[in-house]
Amino acid sequence: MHELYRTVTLHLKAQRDSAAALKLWHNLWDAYEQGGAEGVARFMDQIIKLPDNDEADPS
Amino acid sequence: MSSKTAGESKRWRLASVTVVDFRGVLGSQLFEFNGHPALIWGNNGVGKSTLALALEWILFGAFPSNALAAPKDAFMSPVGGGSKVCKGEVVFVLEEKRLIARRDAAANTFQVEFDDKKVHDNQARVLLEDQLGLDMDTFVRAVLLQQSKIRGLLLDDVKDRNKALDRLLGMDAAEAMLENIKPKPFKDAAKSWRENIESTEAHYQSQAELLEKRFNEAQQEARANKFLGRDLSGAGLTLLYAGLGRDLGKIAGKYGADAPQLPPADTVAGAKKTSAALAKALNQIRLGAELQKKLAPIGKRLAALQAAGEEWAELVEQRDEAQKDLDGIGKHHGDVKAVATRRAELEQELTRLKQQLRSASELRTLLVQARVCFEGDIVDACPVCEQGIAQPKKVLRSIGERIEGLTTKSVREIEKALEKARTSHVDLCETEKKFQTAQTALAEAQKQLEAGRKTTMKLLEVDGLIESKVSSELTKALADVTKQRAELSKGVETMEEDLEAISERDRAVRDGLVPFLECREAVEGHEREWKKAKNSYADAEKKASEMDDRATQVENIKKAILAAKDEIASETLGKAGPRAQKLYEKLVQHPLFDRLDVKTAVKANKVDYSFEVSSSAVNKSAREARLVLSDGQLTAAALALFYALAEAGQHGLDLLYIDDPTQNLDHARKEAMAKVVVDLASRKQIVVSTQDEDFVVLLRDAGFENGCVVHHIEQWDRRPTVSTTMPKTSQA
Repeated sequence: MHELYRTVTLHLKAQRDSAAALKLWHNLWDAYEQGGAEGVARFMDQIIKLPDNDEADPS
Repeated sequence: MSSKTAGESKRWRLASVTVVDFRGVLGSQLFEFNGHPALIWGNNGVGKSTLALALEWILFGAFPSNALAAPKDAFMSPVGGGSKVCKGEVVFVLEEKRLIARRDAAANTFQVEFDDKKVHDNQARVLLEDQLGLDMDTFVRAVLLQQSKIRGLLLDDVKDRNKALDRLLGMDAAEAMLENIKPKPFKDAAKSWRENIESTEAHYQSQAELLEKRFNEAQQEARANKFLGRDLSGAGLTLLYAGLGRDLGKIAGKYGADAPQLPPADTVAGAKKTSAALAKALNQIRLGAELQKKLAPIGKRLAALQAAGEEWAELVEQRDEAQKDLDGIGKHHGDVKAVATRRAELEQELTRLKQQLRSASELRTLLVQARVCFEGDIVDACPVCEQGIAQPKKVLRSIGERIEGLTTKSVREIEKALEKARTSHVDLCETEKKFQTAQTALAEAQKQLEAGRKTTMKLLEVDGLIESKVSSELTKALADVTKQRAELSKGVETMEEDLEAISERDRAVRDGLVPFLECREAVEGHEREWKKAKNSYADAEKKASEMDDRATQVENIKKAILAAKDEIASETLGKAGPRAQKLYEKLVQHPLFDRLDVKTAVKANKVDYSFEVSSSAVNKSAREARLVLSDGQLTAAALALFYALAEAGQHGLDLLYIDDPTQNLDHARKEAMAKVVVDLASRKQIVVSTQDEDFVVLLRDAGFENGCVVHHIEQWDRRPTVSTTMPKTSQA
């Protein structure tokens, strides 16, 4: 397991009500592993819901 | 130096690398290591780096260079070799165990053989990473040490230097995350959702005000059209049109037309259809009413009588004109019989006068002959009676006088009378012709008049109508029909009034009530839409909240990444620090700045690094390394950190592959580097590749070759000529 992934996960788990953040973090990490920095940027674009571009949340 | 073998290591060591048709290698080439440290040396371009590339490609299917993120056929396959045929094998040893990785580009397969088992592709990757305890990122950071990776530490831009340290510390992922994870777009999205709610609400509010205004105006209009409260509804509309339909039926019955059926006006749209149907029905009643049926033939008869009257008057006038012409001739020339008598008398007169003229001419001829007779011979007696003539000269004179008398007087008078009689005769003949023409015209006019009389009798349906009564009878009939028509027209007028009353009621409903109901429908529709929109606000607000939550989550993740990065980097630097310090001292040998200190510096949104040197003998002497060290010293300092980090790496591969470590280094630093390599080789399997013959000599002097494999690549013509020397201890 990547050390960064593991350490960030631990930090998030230490936070209160972090279930959603943890889920998002897992998804971000998957996006990074699949597409690197571009994969992360793409994923971020996809989960932003705007009134004129309200698409399904891929997460 | 140590000559530790594979059997003595607790971690995997490199036993061999075989490449087939890979890059510059045509055919198969085996490089054996048997777990020993190794020196690979040769001139530039003989394939030293190809071996490093092959090692990474075989293990991970990629290359260390960022410029070659994916294997490319043109890059991999040798000139003259088959396309995509390149393959390779890497063998690791650990005591008696062997771990073999094989990659075949043509078959697109990756195989790992371990413990008498062969697994493929993803399973092979997992097994390899599990045994070696590292992934590709760690491999290129902690095993495959290329000097190009530390060049960033020499750059001017702090961002570039931080980036280089990120790479060295394995913080690439953290940086990629931090660069792309931003809470602001989520905050903006939340704001946008809320603004959308506000703008939608404002839109509906303004629409509502507009519709209310129209509604009030339409209500006033409806009241002005005398509609009562009970009418101002769909049911009221239906009843009104039902009433109109009933009254329309009554009117149709009253005027003998078919009773039309109207569609029910149960909606505003239905009312419009009903109104159109009503207008059509009104026209049908107009056309189909008994009055109209009666009026049509009366109108026709009236027209016929008017035409007959006009025609009769014209015929009478023509006849009277003809009579007048005839009478005028009679008045001027007398009776036609008198004219005929006079013409007959004149003809007798002409005959008589012609006779007289002939007699006078004969007499004159006779007298002329007598005078000729008398003038030629003296005549004593009458040639006829033969009696003696007493005075012949007197006779001759008398004859002359008679001739003269006849010529100058009698004959002329007779001719004059004859001419006059002829002229009168011609005039009388002309008059007679006029009489004849006028009589013919009169007869023709009379004939036509007679025909007109008969036609009129037929039209009036009477017998024995005399000429003088025709006109009056026609006038009488015309008056009768006109009266009938007037009576019918009055009925039609009444019908039109009835129909107009219905039409007016329809107009009042259509223009007064229907717009009001339309407005009310629009208001109700708008209220429904508004309600729907209001319901959607909750959804939009939920999305805005989601975006707010996302922003918070992203913020928290960002903080966690920063904390993790600081933690990992600090820990890594902490572990590697003492070793880096020792290597720095050995490699740089700076007279003043004898300490190297690399630390993290956490900032609001990032983690920076300080790469500083200082003097242990002087307080507050810390300086940024790039400001006080030369490029060679800085390179050596970076390599010290580089090696220390690699040594601190926790994985299952006891290997450091150092590619070209002496760039930028002077002789003293090369000598120090050789000692460091030898020292490293005492604890790990070091593979050093270099083109630097001085460095090779220095390594030999330091005793590196005693326990290591030496691959000297002497020539390169697509098949490397490699001179391999196995370690003396191994040979022994």
